[in-house]
Amino acid sequence: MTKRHPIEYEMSPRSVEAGVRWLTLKLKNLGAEDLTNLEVRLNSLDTQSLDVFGTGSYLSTLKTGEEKEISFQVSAHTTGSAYVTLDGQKKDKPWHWESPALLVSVGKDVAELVSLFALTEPYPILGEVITCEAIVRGLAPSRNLVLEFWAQTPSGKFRSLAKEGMGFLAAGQEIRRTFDITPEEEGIYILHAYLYDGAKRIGHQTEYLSMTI
Amino acid sequence: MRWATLSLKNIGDEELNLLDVRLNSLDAYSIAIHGTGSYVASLGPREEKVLPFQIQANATGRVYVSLDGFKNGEPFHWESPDMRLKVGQELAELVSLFALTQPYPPAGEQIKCEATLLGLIPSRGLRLGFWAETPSGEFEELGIVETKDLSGGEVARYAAEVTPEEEGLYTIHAYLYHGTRRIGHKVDKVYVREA
Repeated sequence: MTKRHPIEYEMSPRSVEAGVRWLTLKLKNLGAEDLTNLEVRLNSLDTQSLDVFGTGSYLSTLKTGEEKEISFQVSAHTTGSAYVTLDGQKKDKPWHWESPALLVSVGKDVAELVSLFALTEPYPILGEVITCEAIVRGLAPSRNLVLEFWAQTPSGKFRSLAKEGMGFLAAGQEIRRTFDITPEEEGIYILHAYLYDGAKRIGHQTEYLSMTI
Repeated sequence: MRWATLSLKNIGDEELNLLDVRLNSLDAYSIAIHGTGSYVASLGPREEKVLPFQIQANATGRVYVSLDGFKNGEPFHWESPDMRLKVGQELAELVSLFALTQPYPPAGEQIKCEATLLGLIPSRGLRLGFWAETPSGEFEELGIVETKDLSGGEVARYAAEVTPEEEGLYTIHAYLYHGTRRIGHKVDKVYVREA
C-alpha cells in the first residue's frame, strides 16, 4: 500500500488485458479524524486509453484506521494512468484528497515510449536550436514501430517535426531518437512524441518549453 | 452537464470510412465525456460534419479528438493536439511547472522547481502545494505555500526544492487550491542519473 497522508491506498490489478475490466481500490484512513460523506472517484488521465465507467462511489464514513475496498469498471484500450480523488468532509469541513497517477498496463505492447525530454536549460531564449530526445524501450521483438514528433506552438499551430521508423527493436533494447526545434514564438510550446505500432498509438509523451525573448 | 460541438472537415484526397470519433479527456475529474463516441460512416474529401458531445464540466481541463477508421481500406488513426476547455471563472491559472535543472541531473543534486501563476481576477488565499513522486513510488511533500493576493493579469512565481536520492524518473507535481477545490495541476518529469 502507498501513502499520501492521511490515506493509504492500493489499486489492483495494475496489468489487465484490453476490454471491459474491473479494478479494485483499497483505501485506509491513517489519520486521527473520521472522514465522512466521501465521494470516491477513479479519474482517467486519458480516456482514450482507459475509460472509467460510472460517476464514482459513495462512502458514508471512513473511520480512523478503517479500510474499505471499492471496485471500478473500466474500458481498457491501451496502457494509461488514472488517479483517485476523495471529496467529503473532515471535522464537518469540506475536504479533498487525491493520489498521484497510477499506471495500468493494458495488454502486451511491443514497446514503451519511456520519456521525452528537451535537452536545454530552463526558459530557453527564442531562436535557440533545442534538441529533444525520446527513449523507446522494446518489450517484445518488433519491426513496425513509428515514432512521430510534433510541436504545439503558443499561437495554437500544430506542426510535424519528424517521423521515422524504428527498425528492428529487440525486447529490452533501448533506442534514443532526437529531433531539433527552433522556437520562434514567445510562450509555452508543448512537444509531443507519439509511438505507433501500425495504426495503434501505443505511447504518447509530452514536454513543455517556456520560451522567452 | 454541458454540450460541446466538434466540427470535422476532411482536407485530404481520400475518403475516410467507418470512423469512430471520440472526444477524450486528459483529466476526467475536470471534464468527463459522456458516451462512447460517435460513428461516421464516411467523410469524403472536403466534406464537413458536426458532432455534439455531452460533457460533465467540473473544472478547466484539456481534451483531444481521436478518429479510428479506414482510409483506402487500411486502418486509419488520427488525433488532434489537446485543447483547453475553460470551465467557469477561475481565480487564477497554474500556467507552468518547471524543474530548473540541466537534462538528466545526477542524484544528490538539489533541484529547484518553479511554478508560475497567472491571476485571472483578484484573489487572495490560494494554496500551492509541491510534491515529488520518486522512482520507488513514494509521494513526498516538498512544500505548501499560501500565495500572495493576486490581481487580474498578475504573474507570480513560487518555488520548492528537491534533492533526488534515487536513480530513475521523478515526477514533480504542483497543485493549486482555492479552499478545497483544486483549480490547477501541473507536472514536470526529471530523469535522475547515478551520481
